[in-house]
Amino acid sequence: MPESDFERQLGTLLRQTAADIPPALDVSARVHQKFSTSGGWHGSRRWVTVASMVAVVALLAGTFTWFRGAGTRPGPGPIALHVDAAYADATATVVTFHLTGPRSDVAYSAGSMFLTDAAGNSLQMVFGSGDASGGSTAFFTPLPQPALGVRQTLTLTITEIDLLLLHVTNLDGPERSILKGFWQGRVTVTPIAGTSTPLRIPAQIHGKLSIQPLRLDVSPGSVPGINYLPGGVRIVLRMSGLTPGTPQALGLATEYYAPDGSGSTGSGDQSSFSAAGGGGLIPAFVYVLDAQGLAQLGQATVDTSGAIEFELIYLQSLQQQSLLQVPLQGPLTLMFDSITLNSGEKIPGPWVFTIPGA
Amino acid sequence: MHTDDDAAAIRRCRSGDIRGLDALMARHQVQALRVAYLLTGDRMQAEDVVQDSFLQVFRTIKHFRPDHPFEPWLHGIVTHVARQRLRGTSRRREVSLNAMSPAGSTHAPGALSVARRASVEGSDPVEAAELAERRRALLDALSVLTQKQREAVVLHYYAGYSDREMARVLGCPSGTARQRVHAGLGALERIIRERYAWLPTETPSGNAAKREAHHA
Repeated sequence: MPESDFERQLGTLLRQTAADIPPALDVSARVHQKFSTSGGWHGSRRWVTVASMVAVVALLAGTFTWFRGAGTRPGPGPIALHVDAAYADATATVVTFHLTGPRSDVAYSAGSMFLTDAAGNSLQMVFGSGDASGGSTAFFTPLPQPALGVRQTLTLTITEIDLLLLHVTNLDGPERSILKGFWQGRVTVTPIAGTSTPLRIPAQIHGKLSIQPLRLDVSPGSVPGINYLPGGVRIVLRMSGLTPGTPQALGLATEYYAPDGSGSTGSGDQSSFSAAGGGGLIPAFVYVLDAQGLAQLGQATVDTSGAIEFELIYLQSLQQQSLLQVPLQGPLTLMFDSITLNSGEKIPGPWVFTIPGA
Repeated sequence: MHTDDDAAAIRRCRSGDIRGLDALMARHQVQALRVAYLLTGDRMQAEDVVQDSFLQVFRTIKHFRPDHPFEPWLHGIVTHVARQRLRGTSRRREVSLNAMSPAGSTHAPGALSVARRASVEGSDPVEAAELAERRRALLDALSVLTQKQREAVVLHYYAGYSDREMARVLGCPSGTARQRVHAGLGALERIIRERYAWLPTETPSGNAAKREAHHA
């Protein structure tokens, strides 16, 4: 059937109306924030109904009392949390652990969890990976700089465990459910201290936006659980000229590379950290610093002076043509080509800073 | 078919790595946001819908069939999330000509963004205001359709899905999808012609031209 005039006009008008959404609009920071606050990679599963819980209980009737017991007391029980190892440096905090339970045909995987350092700071989970046997690696935000190099105990707290019958493929079905409880495990770690260098670099202003690097933390370590080579940096920077009281994220494009060699660059503003003689690190993670100086996913509120601080994590990957040696031999160049504000306004740069080695 | 890059990102998500979602969001979020915007008529709601949709993508990625294209699967989730959100907020409202106001007035997020775009583009102010008015009228008219008609119209005339693709996205037979498109199209044309004067005088459709000829 031929298309009517109205249909043609409708298509055009729909496209024009849809263009109210600008191409630069990026919700990824908010997705990560929601992901984190919803309790990690399996989330809070609000859609799991009472009916499905009952079904699981019926299926696992033989072990129901064990489950109930496990959920009400910390430490080892019928479902036990075993924290195997921990790693921490300026760029990341990683814990490996596994869960064991009474049934060999049920996979036990952590749903909601958080990590607490010796000072009581709660570190947010960035991502995690797990396998059906219950072995998991959880990747958390980095410790604050004063905590590096100091031997301490980290406490992993799991508040939800996913139960999955291994032979079932329908993950939304009643054979899968969540067990709420309280499982804790502790592990001692000495975070790699690396070097920490206060930067005395003047702020640069483009448009209304001022950026000033404040500190460079360098770690020679190799973060487990991600496919990067040893050596990474954390750069703390201050961004000012923003509207006080408004939420703001830093939407830099970050890159990742999978173990199979594939990779991708996320959307966002471009940044680089490179040496004059070649070689560089790739932008891997962006965190915002809260009032206590702790790295957080997502966005934070601009303070009364119109400023906000961020932590940028740069790592090096096998896919890079040329690598940087740690300790870094300066001078190095930190560059941001533009910054897009939460309002959608894109402020062109570039901001280019020369940073001494460390 | 989804790209190799999508495949790598999907594998990463399947392994439990949330960062796999970044690549999918980078490639697909704008189109998803635009679909959600047309479905909800509200930019903030569209952002919420797409955020929740990508979280759902990550949590249900094991259901995704790698031999199928990714974007229709995503749009199916966006449609479902938007449907639940609209149902939850009982958004359905009556629209009257009195609700219309000049572009630049701040009575709806859609109007706000349209006005901002017009001023940024620096186009003729009258032309920009007319275009803004039509965009708002379209969103208002879409909101009067039934949810299923609105989904079918947006997926077909904006996203360009065929009957068969719509059937997969909406989870209904292709004949049903086609019927929803027809019903939605007819209702939309009626609403716009009855409530907004600009359509017949600007570019009359074949039907309108016939009616005008008959009256003449």
